[in-house]
Amino acid sequence: MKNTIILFIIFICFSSPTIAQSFVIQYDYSKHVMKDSTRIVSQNTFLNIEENYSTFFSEAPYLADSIMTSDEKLGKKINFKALPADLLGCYIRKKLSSKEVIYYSDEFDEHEYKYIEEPKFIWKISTENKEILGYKVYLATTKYAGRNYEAYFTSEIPIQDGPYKFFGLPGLILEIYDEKKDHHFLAVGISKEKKITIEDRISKRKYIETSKQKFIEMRKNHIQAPLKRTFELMNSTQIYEKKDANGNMVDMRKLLNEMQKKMIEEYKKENRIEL
Amino acid sequence: MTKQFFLFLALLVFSFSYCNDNILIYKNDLKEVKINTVVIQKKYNDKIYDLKISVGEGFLGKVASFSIEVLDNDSEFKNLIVNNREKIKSNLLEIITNSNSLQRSAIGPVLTVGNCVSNCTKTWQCYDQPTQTGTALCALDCVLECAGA
Repeated sequence: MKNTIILFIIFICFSSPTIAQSFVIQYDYSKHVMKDSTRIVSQNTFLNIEENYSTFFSEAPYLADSIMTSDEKLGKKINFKALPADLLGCYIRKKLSSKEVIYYSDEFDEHEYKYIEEPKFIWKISTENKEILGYKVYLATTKYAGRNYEAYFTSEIPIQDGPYKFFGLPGLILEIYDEKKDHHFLAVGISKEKKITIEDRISKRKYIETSKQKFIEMRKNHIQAPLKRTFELMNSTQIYEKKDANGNMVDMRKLLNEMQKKMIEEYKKENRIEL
Repeated sequence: MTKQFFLFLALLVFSFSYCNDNILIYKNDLKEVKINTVVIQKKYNDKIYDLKISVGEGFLGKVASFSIEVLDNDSEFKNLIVNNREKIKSNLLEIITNSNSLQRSAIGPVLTVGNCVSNCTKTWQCYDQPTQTGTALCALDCVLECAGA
């Protein structure tokens, strides 16, 4: 398997430029479910590497789409509460030639946002090594967005890419985690076959372009009043009562208040990758 | 001829596995991410033996396999391990179960209220409704849906 991948990489390096370089690295992404929690949640994430760019995403949106399509076909009511949650809450696209990272948000209601970032990773490479998926990997450390990271990369796959926004090592990053192990990405498979893609979501959705700074500010406001827009809609249309699935009348003001309170509490405890 | 060849191949593989010094005590279905090896010394009948212990590690540090190799090429001690393989395995399974559950109890991702509302409003394109009333009705339905009311 290892030899096949290396041969494949050599092949694409020396073959005609019209042949697209395309393969997938699957990472297990695990994180503490909340700040200061010992419980860990994990999810499959994928780094789809194309000729000129790469895309990093979680399988959750893809699974959610599949479940919803299947429910619709079967005439079943979609159970939104049972859909898989996206642990990342974003898609990351990297254009390594320009060292550009594009962040596409996937966590809001009315609008989604994108911002371009050019992170300057300062890597310290050590001689410490181990094996991951049969590749010899070397330890490197860096700091990013308030966390100290340890990464293991392999020069046997000479692609300067990695999970999430990480890149810039002389080989593919197969494992990376922060020192508190709040967030951990570990490669569990490399394949030439692209099983899932997120291209449709990125191309079909309208993302409002903003800067990272504005995005952070906007998110900060959002988590203080996550249902602000729904409150506005309720007040402007004066729909204060609504029947639930059982036909019972529900006081929407009370429900929205309770729900917003719950959401604020969730946001307070969330274990964000970027501090 | 083909049958004979496969029979020969099977015998060859069997003989190799039988002759292997590495005594596989336990192996489960977890994908091995790496193998950790450590050489330990064990005293038995006033003789100290060097044992190479290999522990296959799955994702999240879970134990995927366990094998022992007697480095001193001593058949007596090797036979002792082979004869007590089941006992060792049963003790080991107890340790592994505890260690795996203590180390990291990975659970499936949880859906937050925010995720639920966001998924729902996007699916029904609530914010693309032609009227504000349509948008409000749609968004409030999603709130009801995610509140479980």
